[in-house]
Amino acid sequence: MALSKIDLDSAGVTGTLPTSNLDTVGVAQGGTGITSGTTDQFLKFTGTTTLASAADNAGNLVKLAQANSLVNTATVNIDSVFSSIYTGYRFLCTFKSVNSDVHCTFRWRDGGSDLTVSQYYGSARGGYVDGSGAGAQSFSDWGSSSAKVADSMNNNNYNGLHLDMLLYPYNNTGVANIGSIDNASNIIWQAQYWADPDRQEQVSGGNTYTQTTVPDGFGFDLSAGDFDGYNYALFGYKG
Amino acid sequence: MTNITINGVTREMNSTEQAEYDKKQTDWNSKSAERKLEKIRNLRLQKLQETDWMAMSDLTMSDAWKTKRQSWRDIPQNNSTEAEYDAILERDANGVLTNAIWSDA
Repeated sequence: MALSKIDLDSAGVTGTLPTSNLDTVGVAQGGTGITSGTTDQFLKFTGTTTLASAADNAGNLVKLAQANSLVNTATVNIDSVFSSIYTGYRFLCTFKSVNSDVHCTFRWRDGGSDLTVSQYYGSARGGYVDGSGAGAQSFSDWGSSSAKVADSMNNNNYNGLHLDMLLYPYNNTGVANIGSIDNASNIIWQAQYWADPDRQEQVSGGNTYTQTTVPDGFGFDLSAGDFDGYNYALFGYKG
Repeated sequence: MTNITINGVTREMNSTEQAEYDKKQTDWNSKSAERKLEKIRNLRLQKLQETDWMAMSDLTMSDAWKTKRQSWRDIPQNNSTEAEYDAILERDANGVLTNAIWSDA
């Protein structure tokens, strides 16, 4: 009589089936229908009953750099981070200054050097509040060798500078060219900081560097003294 | 030596970088009085703007306010030393300007 069913439990069968004896479980049976993938791949659906492994494309917003430190430093530079596959970048950071009454400046960089042609044009406008009331704040650059992004920061006994910045470095190749049709490198930012003398201040601003040098990075420094610490992350936008 | 940071890596400045850094500090410190006067000018402008409504044609500004507003305009010519600028910019623990020149008329 042919066996129609084997009771493995009753027969006391134990052990491990060789991999070669195992079949791939199909998607319709709740399996993946695939037997292998490569590092960092995901599973993705390609139809109602099919699956496939797919490359991790990391999305359209990609973290490119992140760092933090509490060691005093005169400059914070991020070099060799731009690529023609990104249309723009977003930089989030907190900076603290050792000294009071100093402003924070931004510069584009290329090949490890600051780009300092006196062609930075920009302005920022916002407001402040202190013990005597609220008021307007504004500052600007006209043909400067850097872009001021925060004015009269206070020292490390106070809250630092919190910066949210969009960067469109000039690039004449790739998708990044979308942001460079005006032959310049541009930034747009919002900043919130505790200012000297003892007041909360916030500004939003923009700056254009009217040069067609293709930057590969950017950096920050203070008008005097060191940063007491920093914490930043840089993201690239694709598409 | 002063530090410099690139891509999250901190190192000491070389002699050229240090010389540039030192020059920047010297330049900044030498303009301390100028920056304080600029702050005073900004405060003065704000105070004048806040009281401009008193000068509208259908109002008569009191002599006391005329004198007060003129005293704000005269700050730069009546004060020229950094110590005088410091006194004008003095604040209490709550950040309130304490020099009598900023008080209302």
